[in-house]
Amino acid sequence: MIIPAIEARNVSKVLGAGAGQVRALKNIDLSIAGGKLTVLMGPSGSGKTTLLSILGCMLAPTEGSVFICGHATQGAGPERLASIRRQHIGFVFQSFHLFPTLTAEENVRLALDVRSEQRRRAKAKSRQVLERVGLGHKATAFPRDLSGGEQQRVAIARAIVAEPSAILADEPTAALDGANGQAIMTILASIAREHGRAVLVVTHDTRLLEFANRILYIEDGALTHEERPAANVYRLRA
Amino acid sequence: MTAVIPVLIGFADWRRQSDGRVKPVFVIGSDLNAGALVPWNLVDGNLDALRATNAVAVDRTYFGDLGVSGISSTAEIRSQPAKVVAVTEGIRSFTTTPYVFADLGRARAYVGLPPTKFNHFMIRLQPGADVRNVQHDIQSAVPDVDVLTPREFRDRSRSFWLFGTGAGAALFAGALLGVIVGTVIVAQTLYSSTKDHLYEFATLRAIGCSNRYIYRVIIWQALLNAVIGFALATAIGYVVVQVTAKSALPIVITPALVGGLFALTIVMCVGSAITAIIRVVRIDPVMVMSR
Repeated sequence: MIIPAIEARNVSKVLGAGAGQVRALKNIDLSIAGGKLTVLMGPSGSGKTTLLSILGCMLAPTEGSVFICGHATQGAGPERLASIRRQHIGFVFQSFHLFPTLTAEENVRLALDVRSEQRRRAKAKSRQVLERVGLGHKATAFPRDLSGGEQQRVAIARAIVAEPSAILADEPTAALDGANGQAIMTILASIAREHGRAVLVVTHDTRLLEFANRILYIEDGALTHEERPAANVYRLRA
Repeated sequence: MTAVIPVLIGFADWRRQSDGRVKPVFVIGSDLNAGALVPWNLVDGNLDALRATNAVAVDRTYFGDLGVSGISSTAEIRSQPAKVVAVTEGIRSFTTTPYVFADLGRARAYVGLPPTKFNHFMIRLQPGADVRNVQHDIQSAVPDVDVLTPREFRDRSRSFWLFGTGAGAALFAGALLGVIVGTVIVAQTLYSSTKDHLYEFATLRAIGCSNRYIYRVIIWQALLNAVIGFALATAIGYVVVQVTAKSALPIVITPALVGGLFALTIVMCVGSAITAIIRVVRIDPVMVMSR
């Protein structure tokens, strides 16, 4: 049996308290396997980022369970969750979140440093991954010297350098122009296809759909339907 | 015992010749023949000259205070003439009262003690003598005096200044204040630096770094603060030592003191990191999603 990289079972999330309480996610069942790029689409406020945060072990669901590579996250403390993220998940954020005082290579290496990887090996690996995202020549550049697209590619390199099973990307092209957005999606698609990673991209940009192997639609906190491009549309919920 | 040498120590008023101003001095009278507690580090004049009438030895550091310029300068002590015949260097008092050395007889006149009175005795022992036994025997024979070894005398003096006077309390209070203020400043610096970089710490948490890694980062920052701060303080300390070396109150910083202070600085800075660490480990990594 193949264990999915990420699995959510009946996940719900209530945000806020009292009169301001909002049910941000409603009974989400989801399984994301390696080798595919999944896009989670939905309008603003539909619960995309909340779901991504829960799947990324940064937010605990109010109900339901999440499994990362078969590891249950329910009841796990912050250190255990950090350990799961460290071992299994790579993040790409909308605002890149690079460290301004570190070079591109050092930013990438950081993901290996937190895993206590040996320095020389980490350096070589970081260079290699920067080459893979087309930034080998910018390894010593600081984020301020890189364009938005280049910064996002550094962020992708940081997310994949430790070879996690899943890459979670939150609006990775939102801060980029069309060409750079396409380039970023091409890289993410190749990571899924060529390296067998499970890539989940949260977006509301329909131009990105062409890269998806699978599209999940979310609205008002519930998954409404799913598409497999060049295949069928599966209605999940009415 | 091989010798019991009387020594006379007392305060007197030194009247400057130049302007008639009076300065309290600490007169030390010693038996020049016995050679006990005679002035040392002579840089001008000689000990034999102290045998002359009204002859005194003073330290170069106090020339300004005593209104003298060197050998042959004159003044009055307790309305009696005094003439500088020897000059020392480095015999300085912990207080602002200068030492003035004189022959035993002159010193008695200067401090106004009757001829049969002494207030200190130095005792010389034969090599290999049991100091404790001798001390005990003397104490038993003369119960109303203090019998002290040189180390005990030094410790008593140090203890008096540190604990028996306001000077020690002020010194300790100053040092304690320095430690507290230093700790608070470093803590504030680290805390505000941490607050300025909350998103970076949240990113670290999001990519899975452990608490231990965060402790390491912040403690490393604290150690950097400690090393840079200590290097600056050492440079300032070095200048202060050089500047005060020839003054009446030289500041002495020994290698052991430097080592001790460095250790204290490290402890202070690492301790200061606690508030920053508490702040960072409470960061919710999900905050990186909101920006």
